[in-house]
Amino acid sequence: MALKLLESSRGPLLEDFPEDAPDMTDQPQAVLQIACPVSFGPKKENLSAKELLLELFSEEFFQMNTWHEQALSKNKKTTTGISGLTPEAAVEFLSAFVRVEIVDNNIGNISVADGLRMAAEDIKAFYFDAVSAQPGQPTDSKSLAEWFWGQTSAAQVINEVRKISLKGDSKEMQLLGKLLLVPRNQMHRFKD
Amino acid sequence: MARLEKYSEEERNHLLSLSCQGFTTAPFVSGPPLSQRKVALISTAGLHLRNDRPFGLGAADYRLIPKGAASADLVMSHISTNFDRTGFQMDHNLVFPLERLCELEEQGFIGSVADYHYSFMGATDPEQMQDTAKNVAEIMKKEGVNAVLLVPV
Repeated sequence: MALKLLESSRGPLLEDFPEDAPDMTDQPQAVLQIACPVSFGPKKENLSAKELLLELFSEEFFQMNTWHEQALSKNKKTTTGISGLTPEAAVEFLSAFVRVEIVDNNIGNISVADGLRMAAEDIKAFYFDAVSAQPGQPTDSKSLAEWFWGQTSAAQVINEVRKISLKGDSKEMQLLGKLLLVPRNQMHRFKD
Repeated sequence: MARLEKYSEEERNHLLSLSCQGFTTAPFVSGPPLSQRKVALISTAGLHLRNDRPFGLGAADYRLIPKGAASADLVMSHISTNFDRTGFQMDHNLVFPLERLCELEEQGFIGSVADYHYSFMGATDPEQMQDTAKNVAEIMKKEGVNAVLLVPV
């Protein structure tokens, strides 16, 4: 359809594509259908809130890994990998930053700020790949975003990275915290 | 089409606040029929091969994606966390329809698919990409490309 425009004898041309993206706004129930497959067991009361969050993140990640392996087997591909870290290493990298609020080594030639951003994107991609393998789950962007940002410990860890980044002095860390970790339309969840 | 009214209020307001460059001329050229054209793809989705370097903030350069690239080799390092990656994760053809283009080549709908395709990081100010864009245009001309499908995601 778009290519046919190239055969026009007059221009410039501006035409709407005849198909719209699927409208999920009339299906709010889809947002609620994805349930995080993690059962955390009893709370560990001796842990600080931060330590508990990181432990939940770790448990959640390894349970999502079961589904990620299914996704890999089914799709023969993964959309993770921009940071150059394995998903396990990306979890550890983000967790280390939240735990000690500083990571003094870059990832190869990538700065800490870029590394944190890419590791966060890799974790999101890992979770999205994984949940897409679960039978019957909605796969539209709104449902997935609502699930990830609203229900996962991974999102809470990314938000912690955001808050710590905003304490940083460098322009790069400030930019990371202000713009590059949590989407604008999900920030309402994390207002302090 | 992705329509503004379908976006969240935050996204809609952000998109409406972006400046849009005007043009003083409206050049138009015609060319041969599609069945005789060599077509290349240019995406702004921040795509690249898995072993290539990721895009960084303000990146105005491009990443090369050869015709034979497998979907499993493609990753997306677009800088913006607001950028919806779901479609790409489901099917890379949504943002980089290389397989669809190859099918059109097999059907004879287009003449051929170029050997090389290009990806930019769409959050960068387009004016900063001018030199790179001219460079890419020159390379495509030398390859004999005479149609480009821009995929401005």
